[in-house]
Amino acid sequence: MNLKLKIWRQPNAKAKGKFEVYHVENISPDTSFLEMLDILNINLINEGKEPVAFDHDCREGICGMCSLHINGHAHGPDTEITTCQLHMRKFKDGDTIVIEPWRSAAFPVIKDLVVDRTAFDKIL
Amino acid sequence: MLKIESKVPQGPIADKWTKYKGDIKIVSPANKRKLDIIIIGTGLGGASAASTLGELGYNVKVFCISDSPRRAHSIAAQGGINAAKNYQNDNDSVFRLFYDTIKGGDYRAREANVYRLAEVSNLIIDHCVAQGVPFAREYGGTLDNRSFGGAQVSRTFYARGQTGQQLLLGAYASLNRQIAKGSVKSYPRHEVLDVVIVDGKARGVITRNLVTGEIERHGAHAVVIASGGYGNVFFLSTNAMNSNGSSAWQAYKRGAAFANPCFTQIHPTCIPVHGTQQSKLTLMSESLRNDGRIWVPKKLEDVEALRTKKKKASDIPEEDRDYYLERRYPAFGNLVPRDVASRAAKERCDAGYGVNETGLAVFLDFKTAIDRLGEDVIKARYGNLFQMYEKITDTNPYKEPMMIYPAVHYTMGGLWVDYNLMTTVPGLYAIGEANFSDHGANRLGASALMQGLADGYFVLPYTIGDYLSHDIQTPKIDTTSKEFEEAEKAVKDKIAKLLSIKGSQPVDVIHKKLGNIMWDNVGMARTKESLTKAIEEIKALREEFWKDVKVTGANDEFNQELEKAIRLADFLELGELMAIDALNRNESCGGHFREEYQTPEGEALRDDENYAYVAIWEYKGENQQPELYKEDLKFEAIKVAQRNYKD
Repeated sequence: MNLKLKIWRQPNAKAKGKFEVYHVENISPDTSFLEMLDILNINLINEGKEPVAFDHDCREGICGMCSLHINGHAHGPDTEITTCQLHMRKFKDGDTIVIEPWRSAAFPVIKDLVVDRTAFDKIL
Repeated sequence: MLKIESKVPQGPIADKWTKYKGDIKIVSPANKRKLDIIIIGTGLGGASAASTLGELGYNVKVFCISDSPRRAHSIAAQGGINAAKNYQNDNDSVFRLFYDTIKGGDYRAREANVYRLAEVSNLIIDHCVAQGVPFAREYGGTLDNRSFGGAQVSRTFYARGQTGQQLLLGAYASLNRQIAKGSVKSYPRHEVLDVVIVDGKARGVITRNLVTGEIERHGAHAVVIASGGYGNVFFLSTNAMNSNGSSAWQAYKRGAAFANPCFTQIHPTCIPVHGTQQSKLTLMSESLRNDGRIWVPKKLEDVEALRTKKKKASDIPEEDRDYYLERRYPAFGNLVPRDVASRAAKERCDAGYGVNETGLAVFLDFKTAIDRLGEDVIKARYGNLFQMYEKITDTNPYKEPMMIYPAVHYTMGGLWVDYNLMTTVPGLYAIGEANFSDHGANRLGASALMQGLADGYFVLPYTIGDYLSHDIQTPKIDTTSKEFEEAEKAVKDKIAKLLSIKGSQPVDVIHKKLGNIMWDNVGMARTKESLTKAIEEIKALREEFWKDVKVTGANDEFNQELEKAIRLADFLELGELMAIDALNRNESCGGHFREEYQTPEGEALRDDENYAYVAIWEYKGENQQPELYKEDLKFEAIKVAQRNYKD
C-alpha cells in the first residue's frame, strides 16, 4: 500500500504546531498502524529529519499508552481497540490519513503526537 | 572478591520463613518516617512494594518510564496467578505448588525462596480480593480456577485474559492512595540511568526526566529495582516496546552480581512473525492450552496444501493430525511446561511440518472444546484473546484454529539476591522479574504475577526493615557528595557521546541486528559454536553501534531516539553476558537448551554433578571477562529427578 500521511508536528508544549505531509510506500496490509509509523520514522531518520514522537508501549492493546486521533476518530476507524491493534488492512491503497494528538485542554501536547495525561492520575 | 551468602535461615523448610520473620529486626514508626526508599518500576513488584512500604510509614519515591504507573508491562499478563488454595479439592497444597515450581524450573532455583513463594501465594489472593480485584467466580460466587502448564491441579486464579491488568489496577489503586497521603511520591516519565553507591551501600539514583531531559539526583537509604526483565535484548519479544534491562544493568556495573543471565523463557503460544518490519510479538495466553489442542498434520502433502492455501485446517481429518504434545507427553498433554512445549513446536517445524508460509507455525485448535462446551463458554473464558487474535491476523479463531509459534517472553535470570531479596550491594534490592531467585531455568505459567506480588506485598516489606533497622541513625542522604557528582557526570557524558556520534544507522536498525544474533545463536537451541559466534558478533556490533549509531535530536527535550539508544547500549553488553553464561553452562536445563546435551528422546539433559549451581557473574570492567561465582543449590525438601511429563 502507498499512503499519504498528514501528521501534526509540534516540537514542544510551547511551540506552535502544524501539519506536515509525508508519504510511505509498500506497506503490507498486515502491518500494524504503529509499525507503519515506525517505518516512516526510520525513513525520516535516514533522510536526516526528526522522527515523529508518539506514545506506545505494550503494543498488544492493554496498557493504554498509545493514543492518536486518526482521520478524526480516537484510535482510528476500527472499533473496540486501541491504536496499536489497528492494522493497515483497515485502509485502502492511496488513502490520505490524518494523524493528530488528542485535542483537549486537559491533555496538553508534549511533542508531536504525545500528550500529557497526568490529569487522569489526579482523578483516579 | 564477592562474598556470596544466600542467608537462607536454618530449620525445616516449612518453618524457615515464619521463624525468620520472628528473628529479624523491625523499625519503629517514629524511625520509619525518617527513612527514604527509592523504587524503580511500577509493575506488580514495584507498585505493590511502594504502596506497602508507604503504608508502613517510610518515605517512598517511585519512578516509572510510562506516563502513569498503571501502564507497566505487568498489565499485559493474561492468564492468571497461581496460589495453593486447594479450592478445587484436587489435593493441591503449599508443598505441591513449591514442588511443581522447583520441578518446572528444572531444579535450578533456590529451594527456600520457592517454598516461601508458595507459602505466601494464598495471602496474595485474599489481599487482592480485599482490594476488589474481580477474579473470575463460579455461579455460586466462589473463586474459579483453571489449569496452567506444569501442574496437574487447577490453582490458577484469573480475570478473563486480563489478570495482570486487574491485579495491577489493584496495586495501582493502593499506590495512588499512598501518593495522595504523601507517603509515596511518584515520578512518571522518569528513567533511572544509574545507581549511586556511597561507602559500599546503595544510596540513590540518577534519573532523566523524559519530558525535559533534565538529569536529577535522588538519595535514599535503600534502593529497590523492580524494573522487570530484559527479553527485549532479542528486539522481537512479547515485552512492551519500552521494557528494558538498563537499571538492572547499571546496578551490575556498580557491583551487583548478575545470576543465570542465559535463562530466557521462550513462550510456546505467540502469534507467528509476519515480516521483517514487525516491531513486537503478541502472546496468546497459556490458559488457552486448557481448551486448545496443539497439532500439525501428519502428512507432508497436507502441510504443502496448507501453505499454498489449497486446504484449510478444517479440511484435514482427525486421523491425519498429529497432536504431538498429547502423543509425546500423555500425562500432561497440552499442559506441559513452556520450555517443553516450545521445543516440541520447534522440533515439528524443523522437521518440515510448520503450517504457514514461513514454516514457523503450529495450530492451536479449539474445535473439540467448542463442540464440547459451546462457543459461548469459550467466549466467556477467552473472548478478549480471540478478539485480539482476530484483529492482528484477520482470521476468526472460532472457525479456524489459531496459528502460533514460540517467542521470547520472560527472563528467569536477573540480579542475584539473597533470601532477603538484597543484591550483592548492601541496600540494593531486586524484586519480581528483575531478580533471579524463584523460577530456576524455566518459569511456570501464572507464576510471574505471583512472584511480583509476593515480593512486593509480603517479602520485601519485612526484609528491608531488618536492613534499615541498622540505618536509623543515618540522616537524609546528601546528594551533593562526590559519588553523586561522579554518577551524574557519567550519565551526562554517555548521553553527550551518543548524541555526538551522528552515524548512519537508526537505533532500531542496530537493535534488530542484535535481535537476529540473539535469536539465531542464543535462542531456543544453543551450541558451543553458536554461542562463541554470538559473543564475537555482539562485540563487533557494539563497536559498530558506538561508531555509527544515529541519534537524532538533543538531550534537553522529549527524545525517544535517545531513550532507545541508551537502552540499546546496555542490551549490547547484556546480550554478550547471556551468551557467556550459556556457553559456561555445559548442560541443558529448562529454557536453556544446549543441543550437545539432550536425551535420546530430545529432552533437556541436566548435569547435576557439575552444574547444580546458580551462575553468578561479577562485572570486571569494560570489555573484560566477568568473573564467575557459584551458589551451590542444595535440595533438602525434595528429591532431584529427571523431569518427566510423560507419565
